[in-house]
Amino acid sequence: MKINYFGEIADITNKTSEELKLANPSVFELINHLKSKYDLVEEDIQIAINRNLISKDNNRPINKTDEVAILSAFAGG
Amino acid sequence: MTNEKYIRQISLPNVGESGQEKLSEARVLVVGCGGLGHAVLPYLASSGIGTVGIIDGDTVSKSNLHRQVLFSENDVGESKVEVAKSKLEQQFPEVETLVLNEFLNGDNALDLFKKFDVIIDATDAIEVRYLINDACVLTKKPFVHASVYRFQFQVATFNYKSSGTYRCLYPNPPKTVQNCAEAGVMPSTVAMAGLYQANEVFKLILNIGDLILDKMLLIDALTNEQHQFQYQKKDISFITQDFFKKIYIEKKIKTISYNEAKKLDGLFLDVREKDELPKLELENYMQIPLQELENNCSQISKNPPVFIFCQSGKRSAKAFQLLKEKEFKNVYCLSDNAPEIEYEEKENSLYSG
Repeated sequence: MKINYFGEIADITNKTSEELKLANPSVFELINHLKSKYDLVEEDIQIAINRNLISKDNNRPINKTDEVAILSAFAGG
Repeated sequence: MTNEKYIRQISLPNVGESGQEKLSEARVLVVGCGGLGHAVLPYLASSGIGTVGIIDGDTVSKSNLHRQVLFSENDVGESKVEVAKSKLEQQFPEVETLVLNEFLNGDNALDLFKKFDVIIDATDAIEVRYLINDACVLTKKPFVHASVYRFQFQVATFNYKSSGTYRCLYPNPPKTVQNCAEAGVMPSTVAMAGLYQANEVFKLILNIGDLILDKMLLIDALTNEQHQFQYQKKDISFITQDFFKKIYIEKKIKTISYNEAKKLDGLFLDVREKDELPKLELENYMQIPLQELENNCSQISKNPPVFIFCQSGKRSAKAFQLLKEKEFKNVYCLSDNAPEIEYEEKENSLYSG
């Protein structure tokens, strides 16, 4: 699956996008991956699959062709 | 008065004389007179919006000038809203400009919002967005949001008719985020974000086009990419008057400057870790790291005032809430933290000899 990082998250991951291969891609597995690899704080991120923000409590599968985005609130103004 | 000034926009089929009338009757409040405010304000005024309100308690500083283009070098140190008002009135005398030289808080938000039709979130602090959101829910006002991170910005309109709110997009304030001061920003990025906000306000008042509702528009000014993210509406019935009072009025942090606090007979409570620099030697000083505070509150006397500080103000805000919950009545957060206190003490010792 393709995963895009926005705002401060792209600074933390040090990339704006990557191709991610998880064994059984699902919302929970993705969150665990982001937490362990990048130390992201689960409460501070939102996940969009194909441009729809999803509930992080619902462990739905993620398809290989899905486009995932990791977002967070911006502070500046 | 003829509408000659506005003839170019009146000639648009979706504006016309009746649209111009709607603009001239509209009352729009801009919360924050920073980068976003400076992009929004001149265009709200130039389009002939009847009443433009601005609330901000800040003063102009030199680092504002690159993106807050109503201000000049001579304005440094002056009240932002007063300078903005005088510049706008000079250029757009037919627009009524109402200003409030204070920060939005739980005490002033509801009464203020009731006087306007649309609220613009032009702030640079995430906590204030939740205050704006919740006050808009309670007063049933739509608000147009924008926020910036480096070259990217997010725009959305919330709480319009039955649309979603900021809490549907971001349910809770994040634990870690930066603002422009820390992250850096180009003037053009924040100006684009502000102009998107102005555009939303025009569409909303004129009832034309599509508003950014139940979705958030994210634009990257470096790559020119645009993304729209749909979000699900969430139950917001918990946002009640009682909730608002509890979150924004009772828990409101009282602040005091270090020099003012020194005049009062109280305790300076440092909630940093023991090895953090600068080390301070102050009278009436106690150090209890935030992590240990809950179990060590009994060391602190409840009667004299307690002045809390840390390195940047984030931990002292948490310590403030904790002491409030432990029923300390006379608690303040210092507006100056360890680096400023060290500086003040050095200055004082220089002058005293």
